[in-house]
Amino acid sequence: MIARLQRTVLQLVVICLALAAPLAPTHASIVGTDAAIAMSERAEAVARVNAMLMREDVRGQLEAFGVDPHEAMDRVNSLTNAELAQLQSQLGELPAGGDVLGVLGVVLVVLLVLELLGVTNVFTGV
Amino acid sequence: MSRQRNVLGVWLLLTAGCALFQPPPEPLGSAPLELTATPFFPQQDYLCGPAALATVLGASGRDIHPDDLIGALYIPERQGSLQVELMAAARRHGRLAIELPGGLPAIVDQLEAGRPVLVLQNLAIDLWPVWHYAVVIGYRPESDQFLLRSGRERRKVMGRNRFAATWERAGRWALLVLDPDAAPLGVPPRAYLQAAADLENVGAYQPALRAFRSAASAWPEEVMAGLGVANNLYYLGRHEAAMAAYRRLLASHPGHDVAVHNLAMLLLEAGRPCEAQALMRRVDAEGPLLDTARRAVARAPIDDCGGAATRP
Repeated sequence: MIARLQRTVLQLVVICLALAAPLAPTHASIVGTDAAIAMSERAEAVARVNAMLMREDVRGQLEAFGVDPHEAMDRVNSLTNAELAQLQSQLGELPAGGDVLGVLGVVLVVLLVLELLGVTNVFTGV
Repeated sequence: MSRQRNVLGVWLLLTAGCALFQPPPEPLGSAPLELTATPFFPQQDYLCGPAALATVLGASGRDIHPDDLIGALYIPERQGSLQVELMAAARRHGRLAIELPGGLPAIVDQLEAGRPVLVLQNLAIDLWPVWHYAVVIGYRPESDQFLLRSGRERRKVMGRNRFAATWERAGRWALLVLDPDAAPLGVPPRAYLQAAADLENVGAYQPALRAFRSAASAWPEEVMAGLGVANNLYYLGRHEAAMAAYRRLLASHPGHDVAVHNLAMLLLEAGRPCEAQALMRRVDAEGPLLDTARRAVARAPIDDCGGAATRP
């Protein structure tokens, strides 16, 4: 009898705890500063790459390769943070300025990264 | 074999060439610097980690003896301490652990601001490393030398080239341990804000709040400083103050998604859904966080908001 009562009480306690857990005040509902910093850095990185893709000369070159610049931008948006960082660092190594070589470099790097990630297949036929 | 030797020969030639064409380095500052008040703890055995950390903690106003850090830092099998653990221990003592980017000039900038810098050195070679933590306490431009608290030496003098070589072999790691109330002189905002967020991540909300406040007064335009102030007020349970801080942030950055989201969540949690509704009505931007906030506010049970909904 007592054992049974104990078991019932225990069951009740477990049920109460399970119900209370989601109601307890948690800090999970707000976005922490660390996550906010990561999000804003990502947004900046995407904006920088996209600004490059929207440059007149770069767009022309992308189109010459048969890639829709807007589609390329969509794909940049879906890169992971690590992939984005890789793309950024490779773009950063290219010479600055609007010379033809620079433009071709930007386009090739973007295409190469997207290609490696399997989102385009410009080079597959080569 | 001979091919290997050729490669080695070419490599030697190239590096020798590089050395020949290197211009003599410019001195890193104009006036000699030495932070003589920096504490000194002569290192015992392999305990350079605890000694170096106690040195910079002391300089930041937190007096502690290396012996009290050994438990948290020293790994007997490795006969040493890990960088991440030094940073974690600094945080446990309520200090910002800031990894300084920017090379030797950044270290000299900190010396000018009166702050010693903890560095990792490799005193041997890459293949057979001998790791050592020391604290840079001075620089003498006239002789191009660094001054360090190092091991058992209170004032070790190292030529800049030799110091730079040992430091570069250890990955150019420089750690600034800073009081969160101190002005972030010469620290890049990004590195400072990340260190403050790291304090928040480990639940040190009080020091994190103070650090974000220092950041907000040093860089009023930095959104993340204001957000950090508001978030940590919330974590500390100071909900009214947190709401005011989010609203201040939204006054200068209207529609900032994280601030809107967090304020909406806080209003819901405080049982003020009408104010949350009014907040969301004023925001017309799109984004995943704003969508989450809109859905949460829409789910909240609201009977009648009356005049409260139009509250500014």
